[in-house]
Amino acid sequence: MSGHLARYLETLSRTQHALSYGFHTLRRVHPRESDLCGVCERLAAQCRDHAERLEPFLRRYRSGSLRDPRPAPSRAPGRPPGLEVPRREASGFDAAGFEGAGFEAGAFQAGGFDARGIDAGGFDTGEFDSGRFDAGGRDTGVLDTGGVNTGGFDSGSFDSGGFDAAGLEPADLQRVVRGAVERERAGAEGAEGADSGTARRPGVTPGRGGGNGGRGGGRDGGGDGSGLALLRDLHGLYLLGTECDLSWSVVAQAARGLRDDDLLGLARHCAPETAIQLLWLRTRMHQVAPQVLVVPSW
Amino acid sequence: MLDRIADPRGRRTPYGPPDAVERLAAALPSHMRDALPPVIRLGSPWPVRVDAFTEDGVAEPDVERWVPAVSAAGSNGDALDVAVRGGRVVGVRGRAGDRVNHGRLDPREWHAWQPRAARLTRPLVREDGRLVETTWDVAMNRVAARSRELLARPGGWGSLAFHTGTRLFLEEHYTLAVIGKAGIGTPHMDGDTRWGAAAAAAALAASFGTDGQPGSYTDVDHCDALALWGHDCAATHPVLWERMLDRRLGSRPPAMIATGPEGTAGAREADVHLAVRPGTNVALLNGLLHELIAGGWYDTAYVAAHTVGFERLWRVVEAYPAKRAAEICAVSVAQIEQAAEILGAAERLVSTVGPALLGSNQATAAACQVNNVHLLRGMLGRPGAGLCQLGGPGCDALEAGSAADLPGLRNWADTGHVRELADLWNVDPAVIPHWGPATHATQILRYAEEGSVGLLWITASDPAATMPGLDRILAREDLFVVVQDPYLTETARLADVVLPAAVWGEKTGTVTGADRTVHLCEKAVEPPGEARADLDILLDYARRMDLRDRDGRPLLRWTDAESAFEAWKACSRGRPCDHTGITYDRLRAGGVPWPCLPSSSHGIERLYAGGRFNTGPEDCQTFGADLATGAEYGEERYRAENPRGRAFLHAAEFEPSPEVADDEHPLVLVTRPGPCRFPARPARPGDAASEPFAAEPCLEVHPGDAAALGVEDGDLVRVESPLGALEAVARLSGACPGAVVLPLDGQGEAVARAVAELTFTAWDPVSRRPLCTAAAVRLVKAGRRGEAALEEGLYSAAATRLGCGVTARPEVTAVAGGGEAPERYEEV
Repeated sequence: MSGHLARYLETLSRTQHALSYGFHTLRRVHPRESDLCGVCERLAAQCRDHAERLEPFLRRYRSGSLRDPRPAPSRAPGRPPGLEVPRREASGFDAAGFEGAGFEAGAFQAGGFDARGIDAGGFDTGEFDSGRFDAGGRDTGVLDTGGVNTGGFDSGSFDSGGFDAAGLEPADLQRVVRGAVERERAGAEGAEGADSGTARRPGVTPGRGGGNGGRGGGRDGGGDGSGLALLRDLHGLYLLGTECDLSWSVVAQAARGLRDDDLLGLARHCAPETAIQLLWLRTRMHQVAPQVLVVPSW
Repeated sequence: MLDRIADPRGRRTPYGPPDAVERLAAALPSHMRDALPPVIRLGSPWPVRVDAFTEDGVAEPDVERWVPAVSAAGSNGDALDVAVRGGRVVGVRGRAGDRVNHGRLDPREWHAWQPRAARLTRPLVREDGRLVETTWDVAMNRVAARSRELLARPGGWGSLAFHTGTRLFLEEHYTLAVIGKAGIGTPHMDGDTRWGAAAAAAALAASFGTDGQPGSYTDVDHCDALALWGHDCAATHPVLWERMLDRRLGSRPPAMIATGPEGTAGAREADVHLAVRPGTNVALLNGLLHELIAGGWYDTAYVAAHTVGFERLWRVVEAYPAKRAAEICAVSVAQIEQAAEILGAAERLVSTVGPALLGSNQATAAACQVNNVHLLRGMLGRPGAGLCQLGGPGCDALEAGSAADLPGLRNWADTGHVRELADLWNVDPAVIPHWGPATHATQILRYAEEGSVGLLWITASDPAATMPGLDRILAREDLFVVVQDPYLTETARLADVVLPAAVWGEKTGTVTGADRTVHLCEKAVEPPGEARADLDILLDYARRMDLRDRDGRPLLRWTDAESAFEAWKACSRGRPCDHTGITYDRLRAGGVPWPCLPSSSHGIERLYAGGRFNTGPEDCQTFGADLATGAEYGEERYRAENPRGRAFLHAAEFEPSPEVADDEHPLVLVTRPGPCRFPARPARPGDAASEPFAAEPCLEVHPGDAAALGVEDGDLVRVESPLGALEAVARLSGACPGAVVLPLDGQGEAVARAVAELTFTAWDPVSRRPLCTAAAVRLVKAGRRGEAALEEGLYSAAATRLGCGVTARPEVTAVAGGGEAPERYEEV
């Protein structure tokens, strides 16, 4: 049983990394939204911290025994423990943002740029080519074997093949998600190239004129849909965040069942932070949604 | 060098605190005070000293009329009389009997009032790319036609946006609020308050339920301890500072704590000065709260009965013993302990929170911690226990609703509040924008940049002069910009329609000062040419737009300032800012603080007497937000945790500022707004250079830092941040080690803008305010003393932004002072 828990925790860890990356990317591709400044970096660091705090528990339950006799290493609040496992390249998160190549386990595709996104004209440069992230950043072996496409959201969808690894029933999930996708597609006609058969690229749609490419040069053009891109990115991150939120509540249950106070403490620490992340995303979406969806651009 | 702030023009008038009986009397409600025997002095013991400034060659007997008015120099709300001779304003004189200033005047007052050249006298419209003079009819019809065109489309409400300065009267703010929120239904209304008073308002609403200064200036008379949190009081509120100084010089003087950079008058005067590293206010306050709680210096009964969140606050501040706080803030442990002792021992504590704290890292969170100090010690709602969050002018905009909030400190998320307004205005509640938080100023400009805002109406504000890159947005083809201003400002030069407005003294209305005191400012002279009062312009627009209520009657049924004030009174009824007891006649006798019910014509001096706060779900202005991210908690959660009239003790972890110094950029650049930079509005073309304080651009460097760099006093140095560079003359003064201070007194807007270019734009997530007060920089010696040609070298490099892809700004032009007209708009 606890093998399942280990796999579930692994998925959660990956999702947390993906969310962290997603927040970083959000900030990076919407450089002109000044209110993202600071908050995104902060939330990204929080997610990374969650994932790092999970590491000891991954080791504990991966070993197969239900209750590892070793106590979890005690740690100062806010400091991730020293990790023995090959550590994810922490330098991938440098001050300037995230460096795609340095990121492996957490890739989860969240940062992949959807070439079929709404702003398709704007980012055909190599920088935004999803293939690059596909090749460089994503550990496909881990993530895609299940091939369950939970992308319930067009450009902000996320591929959570990890559900399979966590021992969930892929067929059920697939059915539910397919339904959601189809419902959405019925509403939004002409989502180019949307094909439920292909694993869809999730995450963050490049906004107009990121500091790193796109149409960087002449970007004082008219209504360019970058508001919509922002809304969709927030939407995508929200879905990713709800997965973490849900996972933490499930982990808390498991921890109670295992009488693992450390794990329960971790879930109790992380769940409220994740809840705040969701609230923030919701707040920000509420701010932007009416203007983007209702008000015409000139 | 003579320090004109520490040694102002007027003579000192030391005084001691009132005795215990008078203090008890001051705590009584006003109708009971009226019944007291006359032997008990009810007024403030602060001696009267009448200041007057007049035009050269004009003596007081020459003055034809004195017209009651309000300070135009700052947000203090000093009452004064304007001298009129020959249809001109020729001087100002403090009003002796007023509760706020007792006759004193801000030294900048005359500078703010003296008539200037280069007023706009006729409306201008853009024809073939040039601004040409026209008639009011043409200009207003053009604005109305464009508005109607935009509104005709689905979602048209979101195409109109208003940015409002702080130089309007309450009546004008309210009129604009009704036009925008009930007539057009746009959520895009905000203004300069976002960059000033918003953090103070957000912190007050977060802790106490609604905005509004809890304290009163008269608390300075009673207090036995004063704490100035990042408040360079002498520079921003000179009259309040004189009151404090007079107390310090009199009998039984209050102890004083000051935080913020050295070199300010408050820092020199204070018993304990905490020169914290910029951006570390939360750590300092957490350390002080730790000391207060750990030392048992808090009122357990008050905390238990009137606050929520004490356990959580302790959980957070427990991790900030004085030692840790001292390390973070770069002050000594002993200083923190001394400050905590003063705060803990005080029986009557007055705190003022200034722009430096409210404009730096974690602004709202830090301001909430000051609120916590007062809540823990039960220092609210009685004489001498006062708290003032002095973010800047513009309380009127926040109360009357021309900024982001709904009028009357109402909560957009509370359907009951929205229904109240809908009933009052007799409009469909669906029109009133309450489907999400109102748009903040930066976001409005962002929408304008994206093209979804098609009409931007800027009133009494000149954002283009201070915001880099805004000119590019305003110059967009598809954005119709209306500027309503007395002067042809930089913003106005980019407008499609310019509407000439009257200045104070040329129109009538009320102004609310920083301690909630409402004053009447009456019309003294006629506006020049065809310039009109802002109220008349707005009413004209409403007429042309044919804004009507549900029954087809005109939405705005008032025609002048007094009837507008009556309309506002109806709107404020039952809210914390109740104005129903105030009338113009009552105001002619002197300022009245809100809330003021008809039953008590004095108004209530101190809010929250007896520890009753406006935090009930039906009363509060906000359902709360996470201090770290600004995430809104929502109504459900608020109702579930119903605080039932108790105040919130908000806890916040210290988060290092994104612009903290590192190896690459080891110093921190901070700016110090000087006494001559108008807090009320940015400098404008046509403003005289501030003669008494004019100073050459200089940079205060700590001698220790300077020695390490080989910089001597008077050398030309270049300050480099990752965003740009700025050159100035180094002055080796006693600034905090590790910090370089750029005083902005006497500096033109060009320097201010260069600084804005230089600093990172951080963000306060709760008040949604951009923070550009500090930047990590390095210092490079650029020239020897006296050899550099300063005029060329200065701020020329400031425009180079690295790595952002933003085109360098065209050379900024400093505005020449001297009061002559700026270059005429030749196009006309």
